[in-house]
Parts: sequence; structure tokens; C-alpha cells
Amino acid sequence: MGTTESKSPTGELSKWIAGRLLRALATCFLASILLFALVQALPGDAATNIAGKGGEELVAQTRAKMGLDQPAWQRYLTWLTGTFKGDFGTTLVTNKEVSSVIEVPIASTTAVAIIVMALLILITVPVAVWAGAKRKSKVSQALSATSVTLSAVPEFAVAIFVLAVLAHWTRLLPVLSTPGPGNSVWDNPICLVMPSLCLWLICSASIFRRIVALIDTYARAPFVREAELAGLSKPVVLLRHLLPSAIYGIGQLLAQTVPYLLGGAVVVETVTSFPGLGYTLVSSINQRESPTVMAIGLILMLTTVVAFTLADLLGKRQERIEAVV
Amino acid sequence: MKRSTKILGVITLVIGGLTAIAPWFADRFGDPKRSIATSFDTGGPLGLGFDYLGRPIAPQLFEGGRALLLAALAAAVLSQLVGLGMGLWMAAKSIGSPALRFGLDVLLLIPAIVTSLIAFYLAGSNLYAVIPITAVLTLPFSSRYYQANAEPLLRSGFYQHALVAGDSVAVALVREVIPVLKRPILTDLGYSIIGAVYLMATVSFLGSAADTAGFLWPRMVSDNLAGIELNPWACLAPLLAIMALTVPLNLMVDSLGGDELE
Repeated sequence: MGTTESKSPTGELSKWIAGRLLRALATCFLASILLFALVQALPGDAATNIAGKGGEELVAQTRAKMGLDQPAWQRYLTWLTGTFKGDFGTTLVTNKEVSSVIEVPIASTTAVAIIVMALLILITVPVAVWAGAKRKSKVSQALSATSVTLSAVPEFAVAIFVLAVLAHWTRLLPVLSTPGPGNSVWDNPICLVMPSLCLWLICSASIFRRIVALIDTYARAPFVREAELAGLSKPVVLLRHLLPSAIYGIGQLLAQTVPYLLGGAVVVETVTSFPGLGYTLVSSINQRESPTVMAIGLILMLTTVVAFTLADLLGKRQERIEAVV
Repeated sequence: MKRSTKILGVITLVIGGLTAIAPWFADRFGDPKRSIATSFDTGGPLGLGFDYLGRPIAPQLFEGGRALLLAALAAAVLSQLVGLGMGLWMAAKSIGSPALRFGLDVLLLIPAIVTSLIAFYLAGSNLYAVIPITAVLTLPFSSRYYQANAEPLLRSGFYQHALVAGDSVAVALVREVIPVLKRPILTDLGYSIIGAVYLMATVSFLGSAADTAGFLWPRMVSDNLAGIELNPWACLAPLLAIMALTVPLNLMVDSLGGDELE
């Protein structure tokens, strides 16, 4: 493989990455316009939310104070130019810096994402690799059936079952995964357990079956069969011949999980009352806090773009290996 | 088709059929809208107890699945029809296909839950307005799937032969390619139904905190979560009902995929 890589022109790869990044930037720009338009289309706004009971005149005054009386395109341009300078603006109701409002949710979600990714790498991937190598065994088939079943269960159902068992019935964990006022998740790390466990189960169900299929495909490849026929033991064939080829495909699956862990965890965060990025995003939508929605939306879009580009890069590597295989 | 796939298919159809006809029997177990007990009281019809407003759970359970199932079916069929058309269009490298792919990529970038939640609020009390939104949100996936499945077929002899014989691209696609894609269409339709139930249930679950609209089963889960220790069935019964819709279908589609590989 190393030889194949050294033969491939680095310039071609750089060109591919540059092209992908340019396309990604254009996609992000258009997606930000779409997100802004969607937020503007929501019924009511932050001014109506806080001054609605005071009558139309007070609402109009509040709206002017918040800058919501300006045309939408002008507000989008203000947000865009500010963002380019690294300034996400201020929240509409409390007038706090958006960057300081999202600081704690980013740290909390990142902490959970790191824990889940570690669990996936340390537990899910090895078990799935084993299950793929032993596809015909009863345990492997049972694990696959469990993952298919679990992947059809909505996230809120998984989170509620975990909450019911660990918090309500056995009382092993607190019902609310909140660190308490003024505390970060690291001050009260027990609040990381419930969301991490739920997300690990959900992500494991999603990637387990695909890793099993990937390993099974490679296990049938001629070079693996030849290694087995040459008398090498099964663990040696798995570790020295099969895994090095399948590792890029596994990496691709893990990279695709990152955007979900950062932005898609909203349901789990809501059920467990964990103050993460998704939870803050949904609260901001409900409160019509457009600057916060746009800031979190942009962070999630950029993360998605980077993760998918990385996944595609690994996918290209995988395609080259598959072509040889 | 394997015997296990057929059995799972029958189970899926029976559960779907029961969900569709259940509302006709709901009033046999009481009035789903009338409070007749204290919050989260136990006992009552079928032993499922009462919800946060003291209304019986059993008639709500019987009533609540049909709308979710039919809306998910409609969204899945709509998504498959448009996704298939778009996928074939892009596979045939027809005019405008790069722009179409780019547009779908833009849509893919915004978290689906955000788009669908905003759409749910925009739709107000009209539940069925979420059907086209759900269909649109699944388009980037279904179109990619069909494009990937159709591309090798378009390079094959029978499609080229049809074009040489004078068929237009559209006619050749409908006559020569779509019949071959029967199994992938069936598989993706299954996943699409699961995805639609999943998305609609999740949006109703999240949205019910701020709105009284939404599909009944997920709303029951959300509204009765606080009383899970007093009457677990108020929350768990609709949860299990949603799972009964998606799990056998997923197992069947997975088994169907296995048949295809074999």
C-alpha cells in the first residue's frame, strides 16, 4: 500500500482536497442562507415572545431595539460580516455575547462526543470486527440482530429506556444530567454518563452492522483466503492481513458519526436534560434566538463538511484498496 | 425469498393493519379526551392506567397510531417517487444534474431535526403538512441510493440498445432500468418508511413541549415522561407501539437485503 501511495501524485490529492473545500465553502454559504430564511419564517419572534403581552406598540419598540425591524437580507449580511470577523453577535433577549452563551454547550457536547468515540473505538469496533470474522457463529448473529433491532428504535425511546432503568428503577444515576448552576460538566462528571451511554448505544447500533459487512467482504477476499491456506492462524490473518485493509472503511464510518455526535444528539440531550449543543439549539429555536441558532448551525455545518471530507478521503483510499483486492 | 423474510413481512403487515383499524375500536375502552381519574393513576382499561390529565391510556393508544403510520407511508412513497426520478436523472447525467446534486448537498448540511422542527412549527396544527417536508428531507439519501444503483445499469448493453433502437432517455429508463431496480426500490421504501416514522415521531416528541400539535403516540411519550415512576405504561405503552411499527419492518428489510446479497 505504501508503494501505491508513493506512486500517486501528491498534487492530484491536494487538488482534490482544494476542490472539495471550495465546494464545501459554497455549500456552507448557501446552507447558512437557507437556515437564516427558515428561522425568519418561524411564526413570531423574540420581541413577541418577551413583549407580546404589552401590546403592539411595545412589541414594535422591542423589535426596533433588537434590530429585528431591519430587512432580513440586511440582518443576514450583518451576521455574515460579523461571523467573518469571528463575532457571532449578541443574543436578542439577554444581550449577552453569543460566543459566551454557546461556550459551555460546546464544551459539554465535545466531552460527550470524545467519550462516545472512545467507547466506539475501544468496544464497538473490536466486537464488530470479531463478529465479522466469525459471521456464522450464534453470538455474532445474535449481536447483528440486536444491532438491527436497536437501529430501528427511535432515539428518544432508547434514551427513555436507559433513563427508566438507570435513573428511575435502579437509581444508579441522577434523572437530570445537568451539572448544576455555574458548574461545568467536569465539575460534576456523573452527568456525562447518561448521555454518553445513550449515544454510544445508538451509534453502536448504526455502525456495528456496517463494520460486520465490511469485515465479511474482506474475509472472502482472495488475499485473505491465501493467507489462511498458507497456514497462518486466524488471529494473525485478521490482524496482519484483513484489518490493515479494512481500517480505512472503519475510519470512514467513525468520521461520519462525528456530525451526529455534535448536532444530532439533540433528542438524547433533551430527554436527559443535558446542556449540550443540540439542546441549546432547540431551545434557541423555541425562543426565536436567531443569532444563537445561526452560530450553532454554522459550527455544525462546518463540522459536518470537515467530517464528510475526511470520510470521503478515507473512502478514496478504501476504493483504491478494494480495486486491488 | 427466505422463509424468515416472509414471516417478518407477514408480522409487519399484521401490525400495520392493526394500527390502521385500531381507531375504530378505541371508544370501546373509554373516551380518550375525558379526564376520569387522578394524574398517572394505575388500573383502568387494559390495565394501562391514566395519563397526566387523568385520561385513559388504552383508547389513546388505539387511536394514536393510524395518523402516524399513514403520514409516514405517504411521505415514504412521495420521497421514493421523487428520489427515484432524481437518482435516475443524475445517473443519466442529464441537463441540470450537477446543480440538482449541489442543491441536495446544501439541504443535507442543515441538521434534519432543525429543518423538520422549524417546518413542524410552520405547519401549525396541520399535521399532514409534515409529509412533503419529511419527503424532501429524505431526498438527498434516496436520490444518491438510486443514482448509485442505476449507474452500473446505464453502462449495460440493454439500456444502450434501447437508446440505439430509438427510445428516448426517459422511456429507456422507465422500460429498461426501473424493472431491474425492483428489489432496491422495495428495500429503500422499507427504510424510508422507518425513517419517516422516526423523523415524524421525533419532531412530535420535541415539538410537543412548545406546541400541542403533533402525532399522538410520540406526544403521549413526551407528556407522560414526568410520571414514569407513577404509571410507567402511560409513557412506555406508546413507546412500545412506535417500536412495534419500526422494528419488524427493519428486520424484514435487513433480511431482504441479505437475500439480495445471497
